[in-house]
Amino acid sequence: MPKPLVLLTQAGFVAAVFAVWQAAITLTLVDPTILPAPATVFAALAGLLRSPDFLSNAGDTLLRIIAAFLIGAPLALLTGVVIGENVNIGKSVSPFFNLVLAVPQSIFLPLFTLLFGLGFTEKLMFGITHVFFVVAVNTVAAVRHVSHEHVVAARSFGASRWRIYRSIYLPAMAPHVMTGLRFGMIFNIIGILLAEMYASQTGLGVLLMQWGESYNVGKLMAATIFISVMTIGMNEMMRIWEARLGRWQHSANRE
Amino acid sequence: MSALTPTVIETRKLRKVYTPNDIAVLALDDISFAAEEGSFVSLVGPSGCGKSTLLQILAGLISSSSGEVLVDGAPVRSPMPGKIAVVFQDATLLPWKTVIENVEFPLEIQGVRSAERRQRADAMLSLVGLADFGGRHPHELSGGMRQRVSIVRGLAQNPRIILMDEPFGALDEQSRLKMGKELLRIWSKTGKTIFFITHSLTEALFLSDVVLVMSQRPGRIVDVIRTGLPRPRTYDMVGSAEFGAARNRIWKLIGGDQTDADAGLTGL
Amino acid sequence: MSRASLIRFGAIAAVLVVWEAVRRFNLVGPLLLASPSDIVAAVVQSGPQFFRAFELTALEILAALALALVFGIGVGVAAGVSRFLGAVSGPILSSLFAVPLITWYPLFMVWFGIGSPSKIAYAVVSGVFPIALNTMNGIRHLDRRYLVYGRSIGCSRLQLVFRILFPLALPSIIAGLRIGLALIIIGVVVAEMLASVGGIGFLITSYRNIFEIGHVYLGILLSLLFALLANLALSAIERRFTLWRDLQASVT
Repeated sequence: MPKPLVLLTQAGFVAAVFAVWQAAITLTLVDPTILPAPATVFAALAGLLRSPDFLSNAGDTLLRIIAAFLIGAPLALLTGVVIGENVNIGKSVSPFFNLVLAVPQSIFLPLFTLLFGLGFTEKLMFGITHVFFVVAVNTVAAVRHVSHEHVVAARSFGASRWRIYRSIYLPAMAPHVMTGLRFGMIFNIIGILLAEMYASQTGLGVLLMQWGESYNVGKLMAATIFISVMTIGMNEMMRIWEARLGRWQHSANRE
Repeated sequence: MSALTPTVIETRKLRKVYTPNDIAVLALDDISFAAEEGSFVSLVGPSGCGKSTLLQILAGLISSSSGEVLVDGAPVRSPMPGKIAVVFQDATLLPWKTVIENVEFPLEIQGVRSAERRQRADAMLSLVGLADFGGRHPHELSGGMRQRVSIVRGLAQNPRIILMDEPFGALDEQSRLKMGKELLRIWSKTGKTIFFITHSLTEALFLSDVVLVMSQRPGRIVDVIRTGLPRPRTYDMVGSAEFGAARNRIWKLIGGDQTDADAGLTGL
Repeated sequence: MSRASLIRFGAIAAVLVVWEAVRRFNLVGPLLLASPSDIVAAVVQSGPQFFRAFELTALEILAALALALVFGIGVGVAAGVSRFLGAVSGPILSSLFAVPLITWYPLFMVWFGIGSPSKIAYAVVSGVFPIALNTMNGIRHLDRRYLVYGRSIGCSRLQLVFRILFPLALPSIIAGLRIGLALIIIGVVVAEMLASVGGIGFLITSYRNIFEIGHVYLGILLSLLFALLANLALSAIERRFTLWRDLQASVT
């Protein structure tokens, strides 16, 4: 499949979406108070990016996201390695972890508000749990992916424990851990934003709900699209890292 | 060729050219042969000579670049399930269907009514001694059993000719020999015309009346050998002098002792 | 009763007793933890109300599921069968997966109102991606030889798609459906929690606002139960229709 043609079609698809959108406005097929023109939305976005209020709220959201990730991820990595290495712990704990992952955690949000109130801590904890389980499970899988033969061979060459971890475990685990981190980040962002939308004083989530309730569609669309684009960008960046880390490995599934 | 025995399948100057990346590759060149009704014809050739391509053209699955294929005098341009049945190397039995449902499936596509379908499928399975396995699923059967089902599945279509693409290729040697004899038994009972593709010279000579020998790419028919061995065939015939001579002849024709460079593999 | 199930029942009973005790002895406050007896009290008190809410939520979920299946399988089949479409839409679909869909819910509320349609729309979008992606992959990774066989016996295009392609892709489709259904169920409930006039999520939020903890726990429990039952039902369907795949894999 000629790659340029594929990219062109994808770009064309995006362009078509805008074209249809604009057409719907121009032909007055939709009510502009419900769906404003693309130009209006872009103007609103420009305004938002200059507005200190928006930037301050965005900053709060970003802070929560980063904090939750910086706390949750290392904890999960450590836990994952311990579980992965220790077969007994693994056997008793793994079913529990898989159960948690099988249930979308969003439903427990009201309980988090009861437990931690409505402030920074609550959002932080909610985000941490979102990060923790998926990173841990992926880390366990990553540990299991380390070729036992490689380890045995290295030991027979007299490599120290530390050396083995660095030269064999790390490269083998890296892509899978990266996948876990990527998903962890995605779930984290969802969790933080949801918590803000549900009950919060500050944050992008609050703004979205407020604008929704007051039918401030221009700003609402602008902010929503902005958040979507940002997360897609972050996801793609992490995917590139993931691919780079895993290039030396034989991978059957490429999408 | 006797004027009294009708020709079931005939090809005239078949040619197939592929053009990957704008470079013309001649896969088949000037293939012309005919098979009499009720005969067992084999096609042997080295790997990559175009045997499978030829089979796909005969089956109507792909078209030739020039020349034609005639079955009962009518040109083949698309699959003709009523006249041509295909048995693939991999049994390709539909895994979610039972054995008997698999045998019925082509009949269902052809529009045969339910009661008659069941009847014919039962008869087919009995022919190969698998009547008790009708309710099983393909994964419960051994490789040889699956291939037998695949063969009678083709037979159930009541075709004029059965095309077989290395049907025993996936089997071990023992099963291969057994299946060969089983195939001959089915053939003598049903009198169908069989076109059998294989890369095994022994198998081709042992099973057939006529062996078509194909060269390396571009595939050409370089010889037609009438085996002339009496039927029913027995294993000790394989050791006979005529058998050995015929096999050597074929071996030389398909460039058995040459290297790839000598044989000149490239196309146009 | 076998020894294993006795142990299992015993364990569950022990958990319930400890749970109740923790609450009764005030080891965890009443604003945080509802004891099993609190939950039972909530059932007795507001059973019919929860039942009505459950009906509404269930209807929204089913509607979303139906739509997600139609769109998801439709797009998935198209993208799976056509290599070009697959190359175009595959990356788009998997990139969009990263978007926090919940942020689009306020927009959906503006567009579709605060009632059921906005919940259904949001849930459909949530569920359609895994269904489409898995369907597409299931079809792309099919063994083409089955289709060649189908052609050789004279199958029409429609017959190839429905009689051969579809059964072969079914295991993948069901895998996608499993993820999609979970996302749809939670999507509906969470949307109801955020802004709604009815449904289980609405009750959860309402009772949480007046600190009726027992009711909050009941609502969450019901949602989880629903998700669990849906998953079990799906597993049963999966077993019935795709048993051959696992068995086949173990043979080859």
